[in-house]
Amino acid sequence: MCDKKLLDTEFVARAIFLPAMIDSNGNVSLATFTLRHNEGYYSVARMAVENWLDDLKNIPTSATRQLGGYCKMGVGDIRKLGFVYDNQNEVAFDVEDKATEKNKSHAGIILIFGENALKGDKVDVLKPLPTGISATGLMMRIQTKLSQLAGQSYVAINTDDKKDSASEN
Amino acid sequence: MSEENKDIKTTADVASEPVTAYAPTVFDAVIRYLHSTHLPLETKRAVYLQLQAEVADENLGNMKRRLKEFAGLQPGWDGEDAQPVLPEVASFMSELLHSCNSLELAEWSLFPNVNGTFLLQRKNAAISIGLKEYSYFAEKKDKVMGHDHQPLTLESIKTTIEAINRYV
Repeated sequence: MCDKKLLDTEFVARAIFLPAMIDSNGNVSLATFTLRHNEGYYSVARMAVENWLDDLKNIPTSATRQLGGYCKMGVGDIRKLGFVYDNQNEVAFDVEDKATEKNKSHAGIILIFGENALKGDKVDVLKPLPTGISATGLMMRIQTKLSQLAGQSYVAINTDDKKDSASEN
Repeated sequence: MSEENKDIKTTADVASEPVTAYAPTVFDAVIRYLHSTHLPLETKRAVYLQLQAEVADENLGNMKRRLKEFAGLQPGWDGEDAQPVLPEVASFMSELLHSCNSLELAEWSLFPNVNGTFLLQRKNAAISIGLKEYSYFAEKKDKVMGHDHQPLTLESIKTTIEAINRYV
């Protein structure tokens, strides 16, 4: 696995699952951007990579989780989401290549607080954070920025043909 | 005028059509168009209030319907380890939705969170509502307001919603 940073000009797609991650107004749930325990990035697909849509369609689904579509996000736009927390700590967003043999379009949105790459902890908490940081507030702020960017570009996809090779670029 | 709004020719057209026929995401575009017309301020205000009320009613109705749908979510509804919504929190949310004026929640969306709690979201703001506590965050330009782990009561959450509505 390589961790190469993507160019600002690239686009990535975040899978959106039904029924609970998006509403009829196109608003994307903050829960779409939950980092689980020890997860270090949000999985996305690089739209410049051939068959990226197939990679999205191959994400396991179940009776309780159906792939509804994806949100197209510019890598440069994701990086611009960075902000300064409490007037002293910079929170940066970045996007890295996480390709594997089975999933060549796989990439990840990573979060950096000061010098540290953040990981998921409890549902609404990230680690490691200095003492005194409002972990839940920071998490909601990060999730809000990502969900608002994602909500601008939802594309519903037909999953009937799971192996549809008509990937978009 | 935006592409999606180009077919609206006059304010009369806007006022005479059922507002729910338009996606709420078009609401801002319609209001911008209304502002661009040369009508008396009182007329603009009346049309604005009517539009806002109709869209808000529709939004609140959708939130109540979705709350019932979310109550049926099974464990792992996100494909991973998400918990079903907690009945006590769902009951509280129902009470909240029925006690709020539709305009108070006009800009808000309702979602389940993966730990069985609920999220209320609007542009640049969010409230995470749990069993006994809630946390919130709102951002306006570079300024932020918010608190973690506030004691949850109907009054406290409604006060927070009002404060956020004024803030953002």
